[in-house]
Amino acid sequence: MTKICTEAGRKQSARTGGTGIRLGQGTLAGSVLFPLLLVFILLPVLAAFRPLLDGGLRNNVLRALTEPRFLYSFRFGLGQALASTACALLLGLPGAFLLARRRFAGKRLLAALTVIPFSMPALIVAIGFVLYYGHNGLLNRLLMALFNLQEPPLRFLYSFQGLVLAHGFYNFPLVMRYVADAWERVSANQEDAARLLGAGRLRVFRTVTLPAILPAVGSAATLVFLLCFFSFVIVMLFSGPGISTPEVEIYRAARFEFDKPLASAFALAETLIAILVLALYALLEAKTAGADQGQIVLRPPQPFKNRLSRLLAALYGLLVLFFFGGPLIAIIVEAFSVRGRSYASASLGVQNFLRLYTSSGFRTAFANTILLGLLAAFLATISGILLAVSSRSFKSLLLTRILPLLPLAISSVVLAFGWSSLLGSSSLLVIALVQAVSAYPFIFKAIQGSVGRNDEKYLQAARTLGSSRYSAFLRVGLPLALPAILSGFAFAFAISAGDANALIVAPVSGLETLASYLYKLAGSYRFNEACAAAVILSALTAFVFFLKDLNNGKA
Amino acid sequence: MVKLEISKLTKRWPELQLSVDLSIEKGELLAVVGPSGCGKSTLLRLLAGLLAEDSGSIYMDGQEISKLDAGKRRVGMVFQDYALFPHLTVLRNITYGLHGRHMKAEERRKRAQELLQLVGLPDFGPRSILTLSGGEKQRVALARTMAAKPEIILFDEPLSSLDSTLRKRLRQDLREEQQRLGFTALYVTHDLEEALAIADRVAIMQNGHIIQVAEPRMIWEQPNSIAAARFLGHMVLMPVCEATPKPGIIKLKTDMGHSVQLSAKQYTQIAEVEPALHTGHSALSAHDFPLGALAFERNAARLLKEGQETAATDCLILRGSCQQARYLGEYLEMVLELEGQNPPTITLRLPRETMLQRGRSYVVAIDLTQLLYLTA
Amino acid sequence: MNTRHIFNGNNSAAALFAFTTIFIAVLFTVSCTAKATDELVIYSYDSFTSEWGPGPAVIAEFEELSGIKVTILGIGDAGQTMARVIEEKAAPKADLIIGIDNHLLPKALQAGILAPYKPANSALVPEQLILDQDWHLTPFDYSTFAIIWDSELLTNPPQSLEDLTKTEYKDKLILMDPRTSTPGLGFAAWTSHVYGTATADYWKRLAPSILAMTSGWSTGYGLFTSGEAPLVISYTTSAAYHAEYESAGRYRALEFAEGHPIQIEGIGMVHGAKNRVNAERFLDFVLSEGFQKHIPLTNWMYPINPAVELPASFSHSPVPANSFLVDATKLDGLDRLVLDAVQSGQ
Repeated sequence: MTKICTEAGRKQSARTGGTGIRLGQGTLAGSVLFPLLLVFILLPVLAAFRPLLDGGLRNNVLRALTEPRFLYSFRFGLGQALASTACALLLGLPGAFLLARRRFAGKRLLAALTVIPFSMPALIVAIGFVLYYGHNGLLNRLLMALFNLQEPPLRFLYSFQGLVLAHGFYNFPLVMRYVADAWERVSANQEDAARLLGAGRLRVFRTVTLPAILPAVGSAATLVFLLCFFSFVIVMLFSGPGISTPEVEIYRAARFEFDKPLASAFALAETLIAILVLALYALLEAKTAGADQGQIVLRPPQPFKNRLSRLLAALYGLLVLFFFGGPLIAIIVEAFSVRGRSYASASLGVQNFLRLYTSSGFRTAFANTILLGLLAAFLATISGILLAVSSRSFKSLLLTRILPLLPLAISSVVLAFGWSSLLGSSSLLVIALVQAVSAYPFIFKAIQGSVGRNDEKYLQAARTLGSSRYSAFLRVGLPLALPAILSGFAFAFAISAGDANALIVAPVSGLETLASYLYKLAGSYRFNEACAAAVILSALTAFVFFLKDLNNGKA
Repeated sequence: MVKLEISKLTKRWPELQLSVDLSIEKGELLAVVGPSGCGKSTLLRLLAGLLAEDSGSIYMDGQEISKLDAGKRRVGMVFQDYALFPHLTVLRNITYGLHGRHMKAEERRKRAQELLQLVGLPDFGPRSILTLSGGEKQRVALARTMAAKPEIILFDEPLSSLDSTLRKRLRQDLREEQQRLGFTALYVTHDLEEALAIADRVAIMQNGHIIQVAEPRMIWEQPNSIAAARFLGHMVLMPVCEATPKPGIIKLKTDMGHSVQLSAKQYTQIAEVEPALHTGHSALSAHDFPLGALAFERNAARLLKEGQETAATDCLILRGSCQQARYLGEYLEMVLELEGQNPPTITLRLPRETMLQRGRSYVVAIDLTQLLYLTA
Repeated sequence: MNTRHIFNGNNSAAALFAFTTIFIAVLFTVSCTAKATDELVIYSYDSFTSEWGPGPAVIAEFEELSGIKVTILGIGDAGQTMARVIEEKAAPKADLIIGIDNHLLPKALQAGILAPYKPANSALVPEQLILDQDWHLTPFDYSTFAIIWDSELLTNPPQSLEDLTKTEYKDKLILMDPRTSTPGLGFAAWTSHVYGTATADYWKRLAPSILAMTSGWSTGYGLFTSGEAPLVISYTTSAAYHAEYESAGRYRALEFAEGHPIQIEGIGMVHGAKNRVNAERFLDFVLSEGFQKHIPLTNWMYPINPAVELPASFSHSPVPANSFLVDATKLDGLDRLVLDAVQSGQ
């Protein structure tokens, strides 16, 4: 009896052929793997919101809503995030164009350098800004000496403008990178076709190039917006004493009043806003994207066409160098400064670096940062890819576009609660996991933004050749998305390298990374050494991006 | 009447030097065919103004257009991937080129609708580009290009990404549309059959040069050079070691020792080819064929039965042993190893009912009238 | 047959999954080290555990003395550390918590996270520095809040809290936000102790003098040493640090007429601690010289044990003639009051 059944089954499978089974397998994997991964990633999020139930959900939400400052804080939080995003876009887009479309000497190095702020802990960025733009900063001292002034002429730093500028500096490389990746992939034929149909340069850009890069612009803008919305140290430093943003209020509730339910309720409201932003973007993207372009003819970067364009590019370069390289240079100068008995006796030297080098704590922190960065970026890449690919089995906007990005939309303070209630004993891997959960959205977005549904045709072609959805993606989709994935990987590495939060969330006895080491330096009066550590940290991240670009150059 | 004249147009790449003279008649479809990398696409981009030439001129109806901007040349182009704008509807794609022409929106829409009617897709206006099949895309791309009323339409391998059945049907459609609508077209392809099937005239391009321009029949039957014949691939080429021209005839001797005498018309074509154009590929041919080649079509050979050899007069007689015999449906392909030292093999096409034995010796004959003398 | 199909179709994907799984499994195995039976888990604020903090030295000394294996984890600042212990209240992982100070104590008691223990050598603590009569917290060091003055940037320093409101100090003062920083709250408590019901009014007048209110001490003090403003809220003992490592005399702690609030840091046993006996042994050790001698040059605070000799640099850290303990139970809502006043004074 059994034997007959097996026979029949065998015949059945022989008749339907392997393909049917494999395709079934692919969708099955999609429908199992996707929710599984999603649940795993949403677990800390869910745990973070669990305190909402302590003392009644309704009661907690009501308490949050009746807090007058909290509602007020949203206006400021959203306003500054919006302005900061606009600033980052304004700065990043010309750079994206230059990276994607123009050929010039030292481009790769320049591109690698621009990501430096991204890996810098907010504390150092803040100090860099102060050293450059501050009342006693480089720029003001220069202007005062030049024009014989008594008072510093530039006083915008501790204001809304200063905040927006600092955020712009912090985030424009993200815009530049994301958009450049997409810009490189804009079909040269479509642009040429538009030109032949009589469109001027502006119209070609507006009607062909822009729609093609818009999803990437939106992706980058969404990420920058969220990063700025949740920014903390820089907001509090520059936007005037006692300013409120939702994040500060959450911090107060969690750390000052030890009122977890209230913090979670605040976080819920904050997250709902973030989800709204994500949803708005997802809707916009659904309208603009979705090109099945087949084989895209790429346009290699061109040399500058005329003097004017070279001049404009140089002007942009100078602007970036002056406004945004300035703070960076200030940090480097600070890293090489050796404090003396007075200002006059301060000198330049490598003592700070030497002191770091001879500290065994620093060396292990350096090694840990590399190990942790690679591990976290690897985990983030794997989960980012798997999520992005298997999300294609689903149509739901909420499920595929919004939920996967949720970890980005939660206050780090509240997320820390979530993690600490989930984690048992901590280890390097656990920290990598925590960092991967915060970093994978960058890869997820990079893949979604740059590959989108464009390559579905290839995937289908590969699947008809008998590959499952995943192996089809590995063989066909992956190489196509590689530049974007590598970008995401590098960003994930940078995030991991610059993050000191995970070690607070999941502390391991004696485990230090460069970022946590740097915070401890700053907490022990050793600011110059902290700047030196930041320079090393940045050089490390820039090196990773440089490697990534080198690889792209070959491909 | 000449529509487009290309005069001494050059472009130098590290890996290719392009140098082209060509003229296209009004209402004609000229196909440029050549292997990939021969410069076909570069030629199209130069004509469209998407690429700046190093020297030379392009004239449209006698007016020089080489200095004009791409958008002002009145040259349309259908791209290999059609380059339709994915975020616009079919209708908006077609009206794209009608902007800035002082047309009202209603007028533009009407014109687009007419074009859709023309290409046989009257109801496709509101459709998304993403929903179109390959053939539909090609027709929308054509309609979009025609909407701008170009003087000439350039086609950049528009069928190469489609499967062969569809390709055959679409090239027929395209040809019919071209004849019905009467536009002038330059059609680039690497597919020889496609070029022959679609074109009024075919230009063979190699290493950046046009080596022959002629009607399909002429190209096929009378290639003007060894390079052309090699590209066409339908001829057997035998190296010549002695060529003795005499009034009205030429006496040739092949490496294998065959001697033939050809009439003048079997090699006059050669004189029409400009010597300058040979520089690009002479090295290759000169090496193999220092004194040119005796050529005949593969299917011009007749298999002789034993004892018939003497009866065959005015023929080139070749002897050899059969290395391979492949039944290919329409004909039987025979690989014949010729007798002699360091023997070459030639591939012939025989009637499919022929029976061959591998390893056996055979004798084939080619009428002298079927022979051509080709030089580099 | 079917299973074979699955692997056929998914070769590279399966390989990737397998690789990842093995990779992670190996890492988990490696990271799960065997636990010593005789151990002690301590939660502390970050800088205590840092290379330059007291952590490494005192832990090594205690481990040698007792043979107990100590795991010390730095969890952000004192507030975050306490939040973590509250979070884990139902199933505590820590035995001891380092860093709860006199300002946080009422909240800790209210949350019920501390278990009382009076160390055998408790008599070493001076009467006025005892944090809690029931010994929920064993004090281990203290300092007084003070405004630090950069004498190179400012010639005429303020002499009192009231002086700070003068127009000559416009944009000259760096503070920390009381919502997110201990010194920030300390300063707010100071003003509240001095001004009482007039606190809001004082902050309104103070507002123009404040250049920035940073989220944490590190950012604020970094701004100060960058020369951005000549006055910053910190501890009297900050001056000792500069005297020890940089220059004596440039950065000075200002003594104010109104007196200075004291901050006393304590170590407490976590309620429900698993290694209670070990925790008690550590608390006995805290007051001893073996622990106390490390405090001045690593934590830059005064050791609670007055018998410990102070390093020479501490002579630059003035002991205020008038110091006091703030009533921590009155701190609730103070941050709101202060911040509202600042905003209306801007």
